[in-house]
Amino acid sequence: MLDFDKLDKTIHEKGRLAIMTLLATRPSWAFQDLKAELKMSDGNLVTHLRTLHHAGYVAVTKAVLDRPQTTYALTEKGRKAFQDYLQVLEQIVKTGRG
Amino acid sequence: MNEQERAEEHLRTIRRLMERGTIYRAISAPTALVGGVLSILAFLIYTPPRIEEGNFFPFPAPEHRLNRFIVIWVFVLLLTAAANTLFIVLGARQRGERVLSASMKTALAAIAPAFILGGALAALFAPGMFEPGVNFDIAVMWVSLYGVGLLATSQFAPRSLTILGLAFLTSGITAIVAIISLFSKAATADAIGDGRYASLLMLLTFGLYHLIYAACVWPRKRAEPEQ
Repeated sequence: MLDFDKLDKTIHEKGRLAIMTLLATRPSWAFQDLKAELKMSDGNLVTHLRTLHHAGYVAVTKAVLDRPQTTYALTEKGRKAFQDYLQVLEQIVKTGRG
Repeated sequence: MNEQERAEEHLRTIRRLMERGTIYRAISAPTALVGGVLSILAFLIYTPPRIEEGNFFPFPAPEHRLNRFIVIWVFVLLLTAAANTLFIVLGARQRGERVLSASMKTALAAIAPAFILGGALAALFAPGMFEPGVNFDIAVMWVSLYGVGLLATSQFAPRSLTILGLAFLTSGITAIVAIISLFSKAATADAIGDGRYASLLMLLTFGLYHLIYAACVWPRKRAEPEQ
């Protein structure tokens, strides 16, 4: 029997799951764009991004163009972890239907 | 909520966010409706119909004292763009989002080259706007490049917008092929020269295609799920 215990706890949090999902859609996301899309506060978003960064799932790039800009991207490890997470979710759904 | 329901809920959330992150409709249904209606008005202003017995083509040649073709259609473009901006601002306010979203910036970057080229080429044609046939050249160019611009967003556009882009591009190319094969006929050459076919091409594409697109993608209320 599959259960939620097999899911990656780092990703399996509403806010972090949303961040990982958006990061999976494009090569990189600016902090302000992530914030606007997810409607999170600065502090909340920074905390989740830091957790994902410490887990090795998210790479951070800081650049100064006309103004300082921080962009985030999934690492290979992060992409693999997200795909594994999706597979476990799908298995749970399939098992439940079977 | 059991584990399966929770998993399904998570998958739905992921799908919704994936779509928000990757799919962007550069032309909304209300914008298409405005563009379509304005295109029909532009057609009627430029070539007002006059049904005459024995006249197969009920749209008499426009007077060439002042070629209004470019002016009228640039007005249509400006008014449609203004309406589009208004709809985008209102929609963003309603959803509590930024007007210039990341998706919108990506869409603008994809569309811009074809649209800028369309404007630049129209400027190039402008000095010869009193020459016979130039209206048709401009119409074909605008229709084709509009299609190219829409197709440039196909990586993240919904399927309906890609189909619209294909319809425009196909129509532009078909018009070019038709002109090459029909130009030797005097009657066709006259019609091309006086701008009637250009006006018809704009009506069929910017008018009709946009109205069909608006009807197909107009937001509808979804039925409530059964309890």
